[in-house]
Amino acid sequence: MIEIMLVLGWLGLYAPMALGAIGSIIGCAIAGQAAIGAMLDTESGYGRYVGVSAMPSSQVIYGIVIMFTLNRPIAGDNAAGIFAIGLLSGFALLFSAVYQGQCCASAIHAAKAKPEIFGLSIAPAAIVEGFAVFAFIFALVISAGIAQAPV
Amino acid sequence: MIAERFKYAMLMASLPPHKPDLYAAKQTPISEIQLQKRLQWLEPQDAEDLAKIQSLLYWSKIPDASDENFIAHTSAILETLHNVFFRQVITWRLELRTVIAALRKRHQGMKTPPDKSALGVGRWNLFIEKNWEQADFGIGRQLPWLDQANTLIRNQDSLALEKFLLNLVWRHYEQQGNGHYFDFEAVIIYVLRWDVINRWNHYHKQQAVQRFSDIVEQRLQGVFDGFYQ
Repeated sequence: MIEIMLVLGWLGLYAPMALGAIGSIIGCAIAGQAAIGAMLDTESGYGRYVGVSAMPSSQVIYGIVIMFTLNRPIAGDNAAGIFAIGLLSGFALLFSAVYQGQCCASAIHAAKAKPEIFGLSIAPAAIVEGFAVFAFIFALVISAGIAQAPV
Repeated sequence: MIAERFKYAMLMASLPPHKPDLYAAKQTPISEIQLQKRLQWLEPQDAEDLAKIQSLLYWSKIPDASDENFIAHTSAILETLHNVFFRQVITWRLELRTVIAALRKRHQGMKTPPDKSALGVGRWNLFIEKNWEQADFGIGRQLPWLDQANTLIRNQDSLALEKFLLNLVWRHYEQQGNGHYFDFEAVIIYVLRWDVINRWNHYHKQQAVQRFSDIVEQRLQGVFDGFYQ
């Protein structure tokens, strides 16, 4: 039983980084493709399309920070906590990155046709980012309560 | 699922948007050559599906065959399309053509409906057949536009009818495209709407008169040749 707990603990430790990275990969790929497409149809504003398409990359950074915050010797009395926080925050980061990528793709598509709405069009992506920040901050706060295992 | 919904993010983002009003567009948002270039990014299976859809809906790609043969050919191709969305889009357009063709035939004095095999495609065939004498074939409630189309045919206002039908198709495609932004369905809707603008912008009064004269002359030439021999 204790071995299973330890495995889950290690899984939870690495989960926020891995899931955040998966989300960022998908989100950036979706938004990036839209940015490349938009470049073919416009004569200017390339930089901002690329900038917007990079927005979903922040989730992997949050994941790395959570991973380092949770990083401690895994033992029977802290493995469950690390598993729960790591996995759930990881999924929150994954989904937020994917959906943020979709928002970014739509923003690029809309701003290409109507450049004056560029600022407003990225508001939905920024709101989705806000939820990722919630998951990130509260993962850090709650991880302070997990026992440091005896070395 | 995400991959399917965003399968053509680059392709769709590279296409300039259509104007909301069909008649506000003085030209297609992208040239045919450029559109064909972009459509080369479609996966082979999707390109094949698009070609099938075009072969059923584009007048220029419809074979010069009898009504019976065309309907049989269309029904056979429809059977091979498994995507419900595509079937709905195509069937709606073919049903529209079926109803308009029936209205025109009746207006030209046809006393009884054409044979079932030459009537058309879709769910209204039975109604048309049974209610041939009724102004709206008994489907006026289901097709609210039918009354206006019938009036325009009766008044022989071909231009107004064509504008009315193209606008109807334009609005329908717009509605069908809601919720589809970067998937294959969005590509199909874009291409079909592009074709509507293209058709409208290719209508040219003088060219049409010239073409008509050429055809008449060509046909009469054969008659006169035979007469003088």
